[in-house]
Amino acid sequence: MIPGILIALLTFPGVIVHEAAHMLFCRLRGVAVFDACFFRLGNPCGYVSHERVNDFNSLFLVAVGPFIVNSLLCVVFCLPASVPVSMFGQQDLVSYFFLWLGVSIGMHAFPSTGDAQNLWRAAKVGARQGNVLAMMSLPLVVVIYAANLARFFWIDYAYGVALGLGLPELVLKRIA
Amino acid sequence: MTQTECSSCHKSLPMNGTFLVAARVLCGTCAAADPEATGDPRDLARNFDPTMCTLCGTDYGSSVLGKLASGLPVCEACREKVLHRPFPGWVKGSFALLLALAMFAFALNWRFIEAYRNSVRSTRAAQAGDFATAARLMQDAARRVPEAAEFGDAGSFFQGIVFIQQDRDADAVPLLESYVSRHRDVTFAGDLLERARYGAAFDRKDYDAMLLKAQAIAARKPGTFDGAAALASAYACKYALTGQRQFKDFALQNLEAATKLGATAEVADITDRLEHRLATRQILSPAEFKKLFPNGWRRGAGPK
Repeated sequence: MIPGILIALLTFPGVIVHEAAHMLFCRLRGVAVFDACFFRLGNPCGYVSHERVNDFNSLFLVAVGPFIVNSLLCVVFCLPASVPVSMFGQQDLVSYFFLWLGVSIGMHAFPSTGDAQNLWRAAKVGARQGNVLAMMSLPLVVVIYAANLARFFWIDYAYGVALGLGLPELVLKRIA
Repeated sequence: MTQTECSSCHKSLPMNGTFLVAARVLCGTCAAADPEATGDPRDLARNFDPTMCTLCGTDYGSSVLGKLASGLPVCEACREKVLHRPFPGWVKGSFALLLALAMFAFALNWRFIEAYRNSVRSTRAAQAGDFATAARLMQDAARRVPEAAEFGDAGSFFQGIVFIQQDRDADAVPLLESYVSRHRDVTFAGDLLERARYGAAFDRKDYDAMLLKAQAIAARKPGTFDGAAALASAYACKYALTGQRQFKDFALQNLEAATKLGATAEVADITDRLEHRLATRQILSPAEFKKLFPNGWRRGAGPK
């Protein structure tokens, strides 16, 4: 078993982006942020302490924000490097740096266990109350929740690699 | 500061020190002892004084403060601080730096992206039979990424096919030789090379070499239309040049074999041309023949 703290240390840019994304969506949705730590050697290795959110739309965006931002940045950082490395076998340090950066960010895309649990609870309540977004997002929330549980099997790392290395190839083939 | 009364013990105390239990205001002691508070913990909530800032604790006397979305009363300074909490400078700085670096890497590696895109499009064009486009795109990919030797090879290969299609076999030979030297396992490329060598020998009127290449094609593809047709054409050329009967016989034997092996259109094309060659001892290239006899040649029909 590799300690979580070591993984966090090796992939610290992902932790920073994850917390920054939480904070960004808090600001966009007018949710008060009391405290924020972008990275530390501890458990959790980063956090954003915000006020209790009663509105499902805001809760959804604050919880899913890192999934959106981390995934997007993973592609942005990996794209310039994945083509020369994975398709042309180029071995330069700059490309490897960007791949590490992109995959690190991508593998921290999934909401934390706490966020996933809050979202799951709120989605169920929201769906019962007839909130359209809650109903529509229920399958996504299920996937996020399941993916969060599957972190034990390194699915977060697999997601980062698939997004950073697989998606650019797929997209380039499509647009070619 | 707002004073309130505990609904259980009726003690007067600051509102911030009270709790809401099932819509009743209770002091800390009564809230802990209240049987209703022992159920769902969400029934027990801290009561907040609307005249005191929850965050900095400043007492605004009787002035009621604005609330956050969660209902917490906060002063304007604290509201501004928590709603527009700035990102630390190092987070903004490093993000901007990394984004700039990513753009730089993007610009630096754009040639790889373009080359890959063109190689995919080239392969698609080749699969659709458009070898001119395939060659152009693959050669462009090779120019952008000279490190990728396979692009250069594929570009040469496709251009070789284009030359064969244009009856420029001599131009196709060096390109195909270069490809085959590095891809000996691609049988199709070897076949094309022999075909180009055979065509190049015909173009330079070296009919002995043409016959040798025809034999090589027949050896590579025994029992096929291509092999039989190449031999028939080469022997017909030898007959046209020397007038020796044996070459005519070999030509006719192979033509008969080709007729049995080939598809109707290709058989009709070569039969007409070789019959003309054997009858007139005049050697015409397929292009010349087509130009002279656009509707085909038949013995006695003569040129148009």
